[in-house]
Amino acid sequence: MKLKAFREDWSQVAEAVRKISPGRKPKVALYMAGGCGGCDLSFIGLGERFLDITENIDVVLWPLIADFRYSRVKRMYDKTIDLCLFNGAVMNRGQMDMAQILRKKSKIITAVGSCACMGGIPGMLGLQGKGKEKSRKRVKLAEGILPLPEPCDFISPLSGVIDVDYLIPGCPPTPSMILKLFVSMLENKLPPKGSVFASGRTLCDECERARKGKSVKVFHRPYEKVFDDKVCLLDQGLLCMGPVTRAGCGSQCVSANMPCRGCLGPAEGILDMGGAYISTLASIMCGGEKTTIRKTVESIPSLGGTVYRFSLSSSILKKQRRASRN
Amino acid sequence: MEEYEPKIIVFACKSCLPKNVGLEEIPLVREGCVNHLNPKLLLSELKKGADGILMLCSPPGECHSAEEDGEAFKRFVLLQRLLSDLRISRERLRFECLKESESFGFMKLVKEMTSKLKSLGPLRWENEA
Repeated sequence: MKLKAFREDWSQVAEAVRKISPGRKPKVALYMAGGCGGCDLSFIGLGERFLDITENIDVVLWPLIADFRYSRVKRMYDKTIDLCLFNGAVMNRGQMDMAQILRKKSKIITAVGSCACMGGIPGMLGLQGKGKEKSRKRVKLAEGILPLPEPCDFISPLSGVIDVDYLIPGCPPTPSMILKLFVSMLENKLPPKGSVFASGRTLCDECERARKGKSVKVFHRPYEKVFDDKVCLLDQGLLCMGPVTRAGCGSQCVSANMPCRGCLGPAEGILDMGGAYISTLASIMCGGEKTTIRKTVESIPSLGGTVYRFSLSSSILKKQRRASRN
Repeated sequence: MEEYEPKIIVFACKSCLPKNVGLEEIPLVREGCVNHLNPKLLLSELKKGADGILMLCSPPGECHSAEEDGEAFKRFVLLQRLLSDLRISRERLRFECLKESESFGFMKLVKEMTSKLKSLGPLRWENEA
């Protein structure tokens, strides 16, 4: 709910940003690793406030927007960059090196988006067996042969490679979360290290739909029928990740009558989304004969893919910590 | 070559475990009602190196917390499904209802599970199909 109130104060926030006139503009770097670029677009999605913010910062690296040279970043003094927004999972050697360089050069490093925070969609490669497909070393183009970076053994979130100061989860994070980070940086009121720029409660705590109880016999996919917009989606047989997911997105999916996908990651106190979600599913499923229970479970489209859609790389079973190269 | 000895973890409540069996023969026992089992514990045991997991529960209607009767089976089926989605054999997880007095049955279950796990081999995340 905090975020909603925050959103209504847009105009005040813009004013606050305008009033700040730091002696030196903070240097900001935005880097994209194994991601889709949606997080960068979410920053641009701030609209007019984007201009307010960019007036007050000095962008030193943003490959999506303009041509920057990585060699220039490497030549910088340590801790030159005030804030680095890193989005995307670490999938190959190049991205891993860049993450380590950016850690050296930045004072604050923030993982933006589900991929950087938890491994995200690319992390789902872990559902496939390893070593089945050979990765290509180079690709032939009209201009010549392009060498491809060496892929890592496993896909890891940013925190598996370097120390991360703040997390902004979401796929993509809402513009207001990114704005919150910038405003707190510009006002010099940053929260303690390790903070997450979202609520600590679960999405269900903020949901206003009515609960019905233990009644689910068959699970559906969202397109299979029209769902009541007043009743809990889980009770109607949709795999909504609300009970285990962090709130703070303003319940965008649920208010559009679509189940939560769990992109903000596990709420505070939840270690593994899959484990916690199985407890929830067991409590809403209809009991009875063993064969009915088995049938109900088999009607779930893809349990592993649903519960670990964004967090497979940081789940109990698949979590691995990479040894540093240095 | 040394023979492979699988590591089995048993999740069971006190009333299911036979009293007169030497517990040193059984691999590892985690006590607690399976109806209230937190799946997180089971997943972390697998990650820590268990090759198989045995969930034991009182027969229907005999559980001490009558309200929760039958919850264990739902958790078991869901966990089996989750493991198979993660490319881990379903047979590594087994659920049985057992009465207090059946100490023979308990040892038999452990033996069956051990031979099954021996045929499956050690749990390796990359190779499991």
